[in-house]
Amino acid sequence: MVRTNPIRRRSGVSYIRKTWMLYAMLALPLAFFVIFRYIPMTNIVIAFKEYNMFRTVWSAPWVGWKWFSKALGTADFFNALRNTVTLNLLDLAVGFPAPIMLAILLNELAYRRFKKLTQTVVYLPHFLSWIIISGLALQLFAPNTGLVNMALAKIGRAPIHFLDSSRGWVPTYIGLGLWQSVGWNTIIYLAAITGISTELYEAAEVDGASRLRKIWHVTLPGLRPTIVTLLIMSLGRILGSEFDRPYAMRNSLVTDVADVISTYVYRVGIRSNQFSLASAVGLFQSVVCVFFLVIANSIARRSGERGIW
Amino acid sequence: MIRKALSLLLAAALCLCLLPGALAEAAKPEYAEITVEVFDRGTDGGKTDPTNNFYTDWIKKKVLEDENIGVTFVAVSRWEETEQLNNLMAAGTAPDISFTYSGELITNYSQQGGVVDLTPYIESGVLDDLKAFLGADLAKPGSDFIYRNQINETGATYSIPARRMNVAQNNTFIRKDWLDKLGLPIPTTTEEYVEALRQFKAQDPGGVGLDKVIPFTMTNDVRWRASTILDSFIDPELSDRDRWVNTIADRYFLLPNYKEGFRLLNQLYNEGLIDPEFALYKDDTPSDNLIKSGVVGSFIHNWDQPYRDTPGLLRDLQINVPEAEIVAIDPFVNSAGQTAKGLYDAAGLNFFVPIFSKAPEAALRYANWLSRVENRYYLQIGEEGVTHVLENGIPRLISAEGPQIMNSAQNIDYTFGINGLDTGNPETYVQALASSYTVDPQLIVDAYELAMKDGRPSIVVPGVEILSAGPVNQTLVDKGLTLMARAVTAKPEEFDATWDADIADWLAAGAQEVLDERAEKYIAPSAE
Repeated sequence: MVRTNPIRRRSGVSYIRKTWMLYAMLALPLAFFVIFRYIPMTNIVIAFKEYNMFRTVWSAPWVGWKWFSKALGTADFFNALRNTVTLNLLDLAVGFPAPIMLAILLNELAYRRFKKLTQTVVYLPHFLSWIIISGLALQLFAPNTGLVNMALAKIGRAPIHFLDSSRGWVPTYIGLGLWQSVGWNTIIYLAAITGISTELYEAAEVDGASRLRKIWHVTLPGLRPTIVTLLIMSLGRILGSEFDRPYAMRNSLVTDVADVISTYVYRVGIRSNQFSLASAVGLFQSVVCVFFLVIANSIARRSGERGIW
Repeated sequence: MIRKALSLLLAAALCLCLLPGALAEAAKPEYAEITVEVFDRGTDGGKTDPTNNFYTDWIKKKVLEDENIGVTFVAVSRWEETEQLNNLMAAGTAPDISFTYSGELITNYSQQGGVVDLTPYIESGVLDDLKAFLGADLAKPGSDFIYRNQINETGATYSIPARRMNVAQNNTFIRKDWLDKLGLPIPTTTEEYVEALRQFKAQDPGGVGLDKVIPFTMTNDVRWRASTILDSFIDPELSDRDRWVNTIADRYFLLPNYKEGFRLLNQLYNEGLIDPEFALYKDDTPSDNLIKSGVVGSFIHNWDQPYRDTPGLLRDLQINVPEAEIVAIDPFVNSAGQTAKGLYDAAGLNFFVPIFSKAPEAALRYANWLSRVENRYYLQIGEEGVTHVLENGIPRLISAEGPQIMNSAQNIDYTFGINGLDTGNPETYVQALASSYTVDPQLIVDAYELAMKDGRPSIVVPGVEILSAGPVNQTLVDKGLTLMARAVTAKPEEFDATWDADIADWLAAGAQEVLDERAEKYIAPSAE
């Protein structure tokens, strides 16, 4: 870090001569981002235009905020917005601490092979698509022919409406999300735990710290930067919504709680040929997400953490 | 003037030259290449690549000889056709001949300037064979069927419909062996039908276990899978105008008394007579599997559904339960004493030419070529001894194995101008139809007769475009699914409140706007 200064002080030419190779190496990934990420982004202007698929993006006439006011004027949009926020907050409340706890538990296991096995088993669901998971859910939780409800019927209990009532669907949705993703996120925390110096644990042991004390005073503080980074990133996704999970899991009886922004955009925008409306909603979603990201990051920085930038 | 006379002379001379067959080669139009959509049904079980098989080879070879056109087929999934067509249209790569059953979708495209106006081509005679084949339009006296989709105000024709040979729509089916076991007659009234369902539930005639019997199965598409029940509640006195105006997104929710049909379903559901998981079935498969496994007593579907090779309901059921019988019944009598059922309009699948097509004329010549009897008839029935045998001059279709297997019945996915087998003789139609199935032909004859009995032709108001429908159609269809599922599963005392609230929501989501436009644009059929 000290060495950069003398180079800067000399003329720019010699700086370039010294470092051009590094910039050349950077050029390719940079070009990738410009061509495939930033140039397509200019098409976002169709959110303000009367676009249709037979016109070019630039020849379409401007219509100002028409699509935004159209979307914001419907009850369906607000329903989707509310559901998106609710489901994401629940996901955050349940799904965020779970992998941390699981990582710590796994880390405390003395028998290494059991730990490896558990780790593998819990992250495997990550590789199942939501279409498969929704099929499994039907086999397990259907009110009449689902395995769970058949078992309940055998012991004389009434069936639980896991899938076909709004009240049952939300916990099922959150639970399956947790089941699918917990193992995968655990790996990140386990990697962070490996990075904590063993000397700290030894020192704590010398001081007579119990196992819980060590978790509290060594492991968790060691994980803190990772936790904060992942938390900021999750908050940035609070209005974002994945598509396959709600789309595969929903059914006609639960649309009041299951219709989220992504499924709304699919139905009203893509399937109904209103690409401008879809872009307007997408843009709205992105702007709010960036807003949340910035706020979360600045709170983190103000409370002494590093933040993500 | 002189130039015109000269060109006329030249044209006449050219015609004279062409008369001798020896010179026919010279008449061949310039070589053109076109792309043609074909549905990919994704059917398993030894079927072939829809874009490259025995029949596409046959078409390619013959159309090159006859019309000097090179054809390439483009597969579009039958089950995601709207999404895929949207993508192809947006990317400017949709096939020169594209098709869809949805008139709204084509209106949507043509509104945006994405579809070729076919009127000049029809007038110039490019489509004369197709025009002759399609014939007159019974719904629009004095007009040719080829102009069915012509728009009144502008005279533009953005799509041409297929001719549907068979307009039978739906039927109610019941396990006859269950009725026989219980000593019950074939139900002839709604009450008898409901009583039969109750007996199925109480007595388990199939011996599948009392907790497993499903007297009636359906899917979340209730208005279709309970159509004969629901339609019998519609006021038979309703005028054509009111019926047409109030039918939104092809749904009858707003027709007077239709709600009472749902009240009956709600009652049946709460009695445990309807499949308790119907709302979770987003397609036929789970319900089909129940029928095949032998636990279902009754269902409603396409007029010939259990007898079709795909999904093979009766065939697979009889593997599980050898003595099983499924017969069509017709018990739902309306207030006029009739078992009114919907019939399809004579117009089926619509084809259109996208605006960016490089060879619209060649594409239309292909459509015209296909409509000639020697071409479509071969594609529909295939080779004698392989895909059909002739019995008293009537072709009986047999399932082929190997390269000549057909991906869709009568190659409907290639012969887009015609829906159903045209034997050229209406009298032999039903026999030819019945012998095209692999089940006892009598079952088909009976089912066909019941489906047509008291059938109500669909009301057609040609030439009218409902502009407000396009953007809201999908929303109304999706919300309709929710409305229907909630109405059926509501507690009986909450039925009215649920229905009224959901109808209000449906109207607010765009149905009202469509309704108003339909009311404004309705044109009574002229009595020419």
